[in-house]
Amino acid sequence: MRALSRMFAVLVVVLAASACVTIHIYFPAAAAEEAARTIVRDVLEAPGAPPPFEPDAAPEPTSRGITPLLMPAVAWGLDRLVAPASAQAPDLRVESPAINRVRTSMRSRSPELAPYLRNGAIGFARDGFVEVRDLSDVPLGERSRVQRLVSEENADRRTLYREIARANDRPDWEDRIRETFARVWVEEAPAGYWYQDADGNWRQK
Amino acid sequence: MKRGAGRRGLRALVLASLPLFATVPAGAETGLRLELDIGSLVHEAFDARGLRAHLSWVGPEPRFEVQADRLHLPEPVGRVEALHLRCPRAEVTARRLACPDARLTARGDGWRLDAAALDFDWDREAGLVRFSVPWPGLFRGRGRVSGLAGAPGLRVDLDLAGLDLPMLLGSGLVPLELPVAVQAGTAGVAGRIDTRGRVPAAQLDLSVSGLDFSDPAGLHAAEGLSASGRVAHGPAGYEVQARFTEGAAFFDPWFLDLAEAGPVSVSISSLQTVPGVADGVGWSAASGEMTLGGHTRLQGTGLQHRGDRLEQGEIEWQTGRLDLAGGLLAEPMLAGTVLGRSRFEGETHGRLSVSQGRVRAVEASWQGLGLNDDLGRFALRDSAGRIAWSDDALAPESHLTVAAGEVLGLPAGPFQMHFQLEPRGLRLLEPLFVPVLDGGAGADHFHLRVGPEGPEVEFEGGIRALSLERLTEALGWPRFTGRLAGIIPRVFYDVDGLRVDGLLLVQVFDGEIVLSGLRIRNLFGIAPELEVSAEVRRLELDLLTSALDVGRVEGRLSGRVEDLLLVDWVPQRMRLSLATPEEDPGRRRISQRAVENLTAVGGGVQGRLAATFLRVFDAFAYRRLGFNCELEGDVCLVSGVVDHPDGTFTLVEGGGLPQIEVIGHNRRVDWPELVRRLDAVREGPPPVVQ
Repeated sequence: MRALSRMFAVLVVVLAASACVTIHIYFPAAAAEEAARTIVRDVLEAPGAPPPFEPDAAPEPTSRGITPLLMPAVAWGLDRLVAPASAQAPDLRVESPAINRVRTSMRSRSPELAPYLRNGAIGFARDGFVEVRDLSDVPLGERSRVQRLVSEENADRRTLYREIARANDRPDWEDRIRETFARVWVEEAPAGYWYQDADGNWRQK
Repeated sequence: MKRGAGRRGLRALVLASLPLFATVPAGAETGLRLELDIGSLVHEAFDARGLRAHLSWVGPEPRFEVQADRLHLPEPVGRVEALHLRCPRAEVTARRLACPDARLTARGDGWRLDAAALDFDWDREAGLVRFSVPWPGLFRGRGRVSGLAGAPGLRVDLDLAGLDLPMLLGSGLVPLELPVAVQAGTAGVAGRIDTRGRVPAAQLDLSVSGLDFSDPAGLHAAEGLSASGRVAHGPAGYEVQARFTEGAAFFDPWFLDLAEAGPVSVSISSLQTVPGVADGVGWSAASGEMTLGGHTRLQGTGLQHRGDRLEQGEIEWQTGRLDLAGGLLAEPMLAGTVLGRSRFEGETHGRLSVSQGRVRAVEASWQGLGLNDDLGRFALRDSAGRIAWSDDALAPESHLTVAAGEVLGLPAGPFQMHFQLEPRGLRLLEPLFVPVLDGGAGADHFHLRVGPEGPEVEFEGGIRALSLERLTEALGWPRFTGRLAGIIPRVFYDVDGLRVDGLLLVQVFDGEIVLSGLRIRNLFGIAPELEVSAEVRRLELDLLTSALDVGRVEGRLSGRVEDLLLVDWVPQRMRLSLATPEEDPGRRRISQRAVENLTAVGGGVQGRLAATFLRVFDAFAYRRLGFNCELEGDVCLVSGVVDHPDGTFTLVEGGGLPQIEVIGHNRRVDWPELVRRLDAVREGPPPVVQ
């Protein structure tokens, strides 16, 4: 048994030493989700907007693929083979004057949008934007206004996603940020709001 | 209805037995009674089941009745049940059978006739049936239907009013599949439908009032709509003319209240449905025209529409009232863009060509054009011009003139511009100069190309000396005297905005500020950003402090501002370093008021002289002064000409007697608070030292 574990340890070291190590800077998904949640709550909780829906407690994250006991050994080996300078803390910067401005703009629009989100005239689309769903219950003369609010809100959201990516010097993250927001808008939406599921069908929370 | 049915006669297949009962009644009168139980009768044009006929010729005129349990007629009538035709007074000759006062009872899908009056005349030799029906009140309508049915087909003359549209459209009698549900409205129809020709023809005068309709998502809807018009159908398709006079409609994203916008007229020529390739059924029209409120006209020719886009066509527009048409038509389309909060005025006309679903060429002219941004970012007054663009060739020269304009509060113009629009770009044909105040900005060469990597800009131009006095006045800043000028050899545009190569020279306060590394991003966006670095050369402090009205300081000031970032014109980041230069010091004095104001502004700054001592002197000599600020966000990390080990720093170092020294204690300064205090000092009365 001991011989087996020694062989395994040698194998790990040899593997680590001979492997061509490539360092990827991964999208900080958890940080993005946390940042998105803060911003979304801030917007949805603007005065006049309804109280947010309390989501169920998120399940504890679990590691996959590699058993937890093996992880320290691999990390120990890699720490000594790979320069630590390349390691990057998974963090996301969500503070910049432009981001703050656009958040203020979205917060001030929130009370105007809320009645139409409540009555299902508009809903949270699966792509991180808002979309007109059913204007039937909106008086005819107000429908252009709803479309204008939707266009302006989407222009702000586009700016928000782009500016967060830019604040992190990673313009290529824009789509991932938008996808994260798309999920969080729906999770944080109050009960009764409409949203699009993954297939594009409208559902009510 | 299938044509050619009558002349060939009733090629009927009698499926059931034909029991025939002929009786001669007993009594004074003699006559004939005939009862036919035909059962089923199948014909090209109809299929009757449970068919019975009853003929009674007792008096001078025969009477007859025909009944059918079920009858199938061509669409749109379709299935008819419990048909009962009574003819109390038939006129029978060898050639014709007529019944001027027949009564018809029947019911079908969504309709019912209850002893409705019917006048018909069957010319058996000619194979023609003439009929005339006072409208039996179906769908709450009134009026008359008459016509002629025979071998070549059917001609129907309609003169109906007050038809309830939801009932009529719900009955299935109208062979239309509408994309909207009609909730209310009445209609009148007068005209003729004729199926006797090679192509069925129709010409109907239609009127609707109180029309409410909506599609499922409410994106196409109307309320209280009134319209009248004519629909004609011929070999080339439908000819449609309609005039909408009352009510309101929403056709995403446009809303039109006809009471405010005025009537809308529509005419379409040779309208036909055409099968689409991939997007289902589309339509085509030889021409179409829409006029709005008598001031705006849209015309199209050779139109082909498939799915949700115009595939082909030439569109022309003309409006004499952009103030009205802009708000109604342009504003909803521009929502969320830079022009989304703009008001327009003036006149415009032009045309665009669409081919294979893409715009291929545009020509537009305008005059008296005005544009005002509600948020005050820009404005344009009295512009005229003509532009031309083509997607596959160099278009003819474009030009425009602007009488006056405004950008971020700065008045500009008049100017004119000659340029050429390329398929993916714009080239200036003559130097452009835009007067701004007493100077202006100009471009000798400008060429913009939009490629797959983004826009590329070639630019040579500059800023002709601009009076700072008028500039600061226009921007509402403290009034400075001086001039701004510069040469801009190149301009770059990328994802980080517009980068201006070259140097801008600001001659101010008897010194110079040289601006470089200018970058502008989202100029009209939610948070405009401007980045610039500056070198400050020997500004005369006397003039500077006089302009700011903060007390008098004599001497010179030099230094640098690096990486200044303004967001929405508020500094967010910079490395500022200003100090009196070592060389050529000249006279250096600071007034008592300036010291006090510096104290008031600094907060953590203290004068080292006793207040009572200060009162004796109006001004003090100083050896040097300086101020450094590393700004990041709202926090400015301050230092002076000398940094002391205890964390304090000297802002003003005295020289001579009495010696004055201004020491700062607080290195971390709240920048917005500093600006507020500076404003308070400038706007408040001069402080009095007690």
